[in-house]
Amino acid sequence: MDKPLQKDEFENLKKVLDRKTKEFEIIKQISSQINKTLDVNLIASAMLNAMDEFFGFKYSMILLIDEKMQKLNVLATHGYEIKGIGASVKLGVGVIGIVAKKKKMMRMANLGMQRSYMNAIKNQINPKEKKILSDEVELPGLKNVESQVAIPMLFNDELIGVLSVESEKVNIFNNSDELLIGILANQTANALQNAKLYQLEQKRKIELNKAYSELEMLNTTLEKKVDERTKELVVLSKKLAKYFSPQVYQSIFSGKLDVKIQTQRKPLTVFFSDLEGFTELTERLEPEVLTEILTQYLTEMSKIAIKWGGTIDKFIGDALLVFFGDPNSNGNKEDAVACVSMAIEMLERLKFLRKFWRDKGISKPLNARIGIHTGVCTVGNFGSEDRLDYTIIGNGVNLASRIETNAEPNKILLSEDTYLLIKNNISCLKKQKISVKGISYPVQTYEVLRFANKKSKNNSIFEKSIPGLSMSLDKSAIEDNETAISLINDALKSLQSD
Amino acid sequence: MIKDEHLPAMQGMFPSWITSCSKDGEPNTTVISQIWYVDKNHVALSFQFFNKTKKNISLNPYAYATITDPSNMKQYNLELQFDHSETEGELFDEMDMKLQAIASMTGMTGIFELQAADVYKVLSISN
Repeated sequence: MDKPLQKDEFENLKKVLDRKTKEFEIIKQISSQINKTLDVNLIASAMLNAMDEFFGFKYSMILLIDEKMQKLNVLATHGYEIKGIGASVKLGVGVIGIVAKKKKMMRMANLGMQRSYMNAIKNQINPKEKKILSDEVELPGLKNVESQVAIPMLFNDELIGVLSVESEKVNIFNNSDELLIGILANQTANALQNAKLYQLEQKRKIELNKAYSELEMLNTTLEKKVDERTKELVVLSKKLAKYFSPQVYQSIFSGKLDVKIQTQRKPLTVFFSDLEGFTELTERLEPEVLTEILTQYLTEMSKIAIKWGGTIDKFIGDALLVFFGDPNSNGNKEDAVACVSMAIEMLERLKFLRKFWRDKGISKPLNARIGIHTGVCTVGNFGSEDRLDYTIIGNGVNLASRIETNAEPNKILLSEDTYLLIKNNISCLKKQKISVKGISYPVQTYEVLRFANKKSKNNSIFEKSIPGLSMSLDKSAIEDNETAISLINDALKSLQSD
Repeated sequence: MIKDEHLPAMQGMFPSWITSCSKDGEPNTTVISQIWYVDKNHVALSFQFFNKTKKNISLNPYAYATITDPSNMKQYNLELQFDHSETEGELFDEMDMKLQAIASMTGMTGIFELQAADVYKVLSISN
């Protein structure tokens, strides 16, 4: 059975309890104080001040570990004449260095005497061996320190730093001081770790912002570069466009047509024209004048071709190759009608150009011959990997060219294939059959009766043809009216006499 | 056996004397910096260099120590019997850390190293 407590024992216990309660309150107070801030320096100095104010620890310091350099740097000090901030202690040197290395607290009671004792031994050591010894080490803190408690500040078993309390008095710290400093060191460690994490986060935030703004700048630069490059490309493509038919150009740049070796067979209406007597003209005219005439002629013709939706394949000197049906087609019949309509407009335009050239002093009139054929051709990009040509090949092309050479000046000669497609829209005259290399049968040709377009509003022109009879009357072109009447009368008489 | 009142005398403030005897009974007294408190029945001596005490104890385990309380200059006499040596563990670490701290401060790192903590049983304490 336990003895009842004696009065003095009870008093003692009460005192201890009171002291513990007070200490607990103070620790709580300090803890809340240092947790108010996330500034590492403020936390450290607040802790050291509080330790002096509430517990009378006059000299203290907090050091932080620098793992890379294997040393501890003084973060904050309290009570010393020289603050010593920035001073450092090597890991494993002195009380603080050993505490950090071993991650275990240490309490020293009589450092001065122990140092003297150690130095006495040092002096007894053989001078030869002495050479390897170093001098006394300068350490931050009291020069005449006797008592010291150093506590490792740990967070999740990892060393953050060391909290050290010193006194020049011998054996001043006891077990309960040790316990108390231990608790405070723990509190400091937590607060410092929080602050460190916060600062790390802030640093990361800043880095992130920096990276973000760098990225943004890069983006802007990139956009600018892309813009510049696009502008360059636009200029370049505009230049390139002149070498292509607008349809082909559109198709390539809109991505509908890929620039690679790729062809397909398609029904096309192919147009061929050249200027009769142009070669002869080249020998007589200055190159500058010739260039001007040719440029004017081809420019005007191209405009008309584009207007009717033709694909200008190529210019060969004064010759022009245009086709309908690729890359865009409105249907075989519509393509053929458009092609013939284009040819009619070209001849009309040429009439005007001839007058213009005559005024400029070119005496010999330039006449165009036009041949048109509708048939299946191979169309697409031909050539090598490096150099491609968007063009058409096949018998259809050869036939159109052959028909063109058989056309009369300022006339449009069609193959039967084209004629069959346009006969309901445009009046034609049956002409001779021609034989073409590579085609076993003779090809029937038709000539477009000029201005016979049904849409034509010109009433002075009368053109009709039936098998065995072909009539073409242009009142505005008749110079001798009586001869014309007598010709028609002769024809009537010849028919009536049968 | 060891009471609270004895503890200040084991802080190493005042040097302690230790006397051992050779096999033939020849006594040897030497000064040491500290006698360490282990528990109520044991104390420890630091073994750094092989000396006469160490040699004597290996042949005759009994020793006699005198310690001083620096606050009142009271002296205590302890009869000791060598028990065992520790080269690791809490006691060894504590003694080793303190020695290393002092050694490193005086530029003696690597020379002044704790070899072992020699634990003695306290047979008696008298004034």
